[in-house]
Amino acid sequence: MGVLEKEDERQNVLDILRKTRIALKTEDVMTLREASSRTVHSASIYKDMDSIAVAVIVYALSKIIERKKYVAYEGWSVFYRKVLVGIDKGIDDLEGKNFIQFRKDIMEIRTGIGSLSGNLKTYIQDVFREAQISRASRLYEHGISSAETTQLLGITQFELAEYIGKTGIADVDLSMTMSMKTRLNFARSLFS
Amino acid sequence: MVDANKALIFDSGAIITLALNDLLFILEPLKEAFGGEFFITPQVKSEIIDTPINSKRFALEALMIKSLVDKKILTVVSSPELKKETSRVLEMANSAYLADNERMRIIHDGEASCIALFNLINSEKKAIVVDERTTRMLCESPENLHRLYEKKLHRKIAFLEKNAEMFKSVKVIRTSELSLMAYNRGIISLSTSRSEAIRAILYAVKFKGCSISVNEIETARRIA
Repeated sequence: MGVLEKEDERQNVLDILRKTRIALKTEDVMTLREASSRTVHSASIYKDMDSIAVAVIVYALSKIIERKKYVAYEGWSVFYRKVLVGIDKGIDDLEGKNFIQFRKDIMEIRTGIGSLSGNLKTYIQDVFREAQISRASRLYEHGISSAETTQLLGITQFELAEYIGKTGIADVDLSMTMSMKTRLNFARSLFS
Repeated sequence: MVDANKALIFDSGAIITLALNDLLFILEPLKEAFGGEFFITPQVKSEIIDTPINSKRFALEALMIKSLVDKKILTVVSSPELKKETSRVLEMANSAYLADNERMRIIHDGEASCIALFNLINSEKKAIVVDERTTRMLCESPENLHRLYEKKLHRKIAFLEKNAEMFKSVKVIRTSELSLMAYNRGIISLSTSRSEAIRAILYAVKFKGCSISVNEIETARRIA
């Protein structure tokens, strides 16, 4: 059984998509970010690809809206319409519990990037790649290992390493599992 | 079993941290100073060589790591026994925590294979070199990992302590400690004070993915 077949998860993703649609129209970056984070919890537990795909798309959209320069590129309005149509179709299919079609709707938003051209294509591709890395970092922050998260998000461990190094994940108190002195002494004993 | 006088088993992240900091050169003299084996598993090799070698962004790093394997500084260990033990480790780790009665898949083949190889090495002086946080926490403080899951996921997480038992014997170091060993032996030479050099080295590995905190770095500057 897919995670979306659980009623509470289906309602959760539906709510996220509805809020995403409104937030896109009002250019509400914070709501988009919050919506993307909500899918991270489900993704951490279930490793479900639908939640992960939604998390990446919503986060990428938040970055696109935030940076503003997207509107200047030729082809933006066509892409934007496709995104809105994709979200609407996704909502309709998820409401109707048509899970297979829902997956296709979400996938179409990503594959729509392929039909773009010029600078906009490169720009949107980059934003989606960054979104994948950022969402991977959030899964890692939730306690999922780096190899597991990179596998799920389809990125390399090199990309994740560069990203997480700039975060405060290593400084969280719960991450401290042994004193520096003890670990250093152990390392020294190995080399003695 | 794998026979070795002494052994360090490298996870992907540790090699990546060194590669991204241009510190791979320390491995050859460190191995000589160590007087034992530096192992990687086939799963780790795939993550740090076979996959990135086909990418534009990290092909150079992958090739530099490959040369360490070609020169036998890093030895790839592969056996049916390791495969079997890796499956056992994965099964135990990925069933230790339950969210909403669902098993949480928390580690992947690469990390599991490092723990598996650790279990199979017939030596008292051995450790896995792991920079990522989850595997280290699973081995050294599965209770903290449990608390982290409950805090981050905002729900009750069941923790099956007996499944985490097998990880308690696994010894972990990071590239931070390894780099300090290299610095102490003059393998890394920097024209500055000892305290500043340690700070530079440890922040460098931290910024490329080594899970070391600012507090730990400050402690290391005082005591290393």
